[in-house]
Amino acid sequence: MSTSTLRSSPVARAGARDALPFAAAGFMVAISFGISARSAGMPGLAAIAMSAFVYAGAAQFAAVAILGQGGSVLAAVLAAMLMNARYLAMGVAIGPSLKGGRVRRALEGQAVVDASWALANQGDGRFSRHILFGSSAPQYVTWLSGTVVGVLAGSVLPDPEALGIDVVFPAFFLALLVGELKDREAGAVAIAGIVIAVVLGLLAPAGIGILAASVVAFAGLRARRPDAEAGA
Amino acid sequence: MSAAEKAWLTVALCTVTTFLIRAFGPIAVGGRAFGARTSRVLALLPAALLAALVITETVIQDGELDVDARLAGVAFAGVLLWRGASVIWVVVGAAAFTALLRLVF
Repeated sequence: MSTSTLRSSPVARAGARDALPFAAAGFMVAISFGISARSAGMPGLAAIAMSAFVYAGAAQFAAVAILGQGGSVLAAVLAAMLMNARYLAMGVAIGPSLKGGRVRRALEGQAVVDASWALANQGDGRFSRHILFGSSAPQYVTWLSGTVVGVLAGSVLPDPEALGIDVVFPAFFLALLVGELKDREAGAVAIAGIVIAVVLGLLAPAGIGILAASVVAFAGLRARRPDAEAGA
Repeated sequence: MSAAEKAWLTVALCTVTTFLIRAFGPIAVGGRAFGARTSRVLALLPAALLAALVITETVIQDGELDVDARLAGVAFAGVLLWRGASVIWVVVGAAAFTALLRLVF
């Protein structure tokens, strides 16, 4: 679907071009994901399958990080789901711009990742399908191929910790976190999340602290204050 | 369950849940948005989760506080971010800095 769209639409080609910086960065991040997944004890093929079928960087990193800490499958999957929860809102926003019946729209929605969604956003509540597909295609290719490269590299590295591979996860999460700190409320939520994660990280089974920290997001249910709106 | 079985089960479940989450918006609503408060909670979730992941991956090991070169490496990542570095240089720089510390000390 994406390839025929690419051939037929100049708009999709423009979207692919705009996505190249994201695709290049995604390639490098995918390499670090593959290496980290191997050093967290994940079979290489499972890591590659994850990139092929899940195609959601933050969720994949979160799930593998929890497994690497010795957390349960349930904790890992729940963390990935919570990390992906933003796609609910993004999918609702882009929904009216997609075409066809339910099945086709569900499939078209799979092209949504952070960068493709943002590039496709026309700013007036409408989204360009062609830019969505065109920009998602190169990102998918580099995400998958980068994971393969990382898995192969991770399999031959004698001592990943000597190369600092274990800081790839937290450094990547920190980079994403900084992008989320758009206002004071987000900063307060992050600090509360840190406190909960540390306390429960020491007291509860692995992964529980991370899941529990997500509860502080419900601070968003509070009545909006004018200054919070202005900061957003 | 072995580590490999856990990994494969996680991949399978993440595949299904991620598909459903991505499919939800396009099929469930005819353009009707979430309420402002629900949207706000969804928008705040990544900040809470990412902060929890950063700290857990930085100072906790096997359920105990463990301060080592990782903390310095992540702090270095923070400096790189503050200097406006792109995500890939942040990741590579933090790993290199941590590796250097481990080599020296």
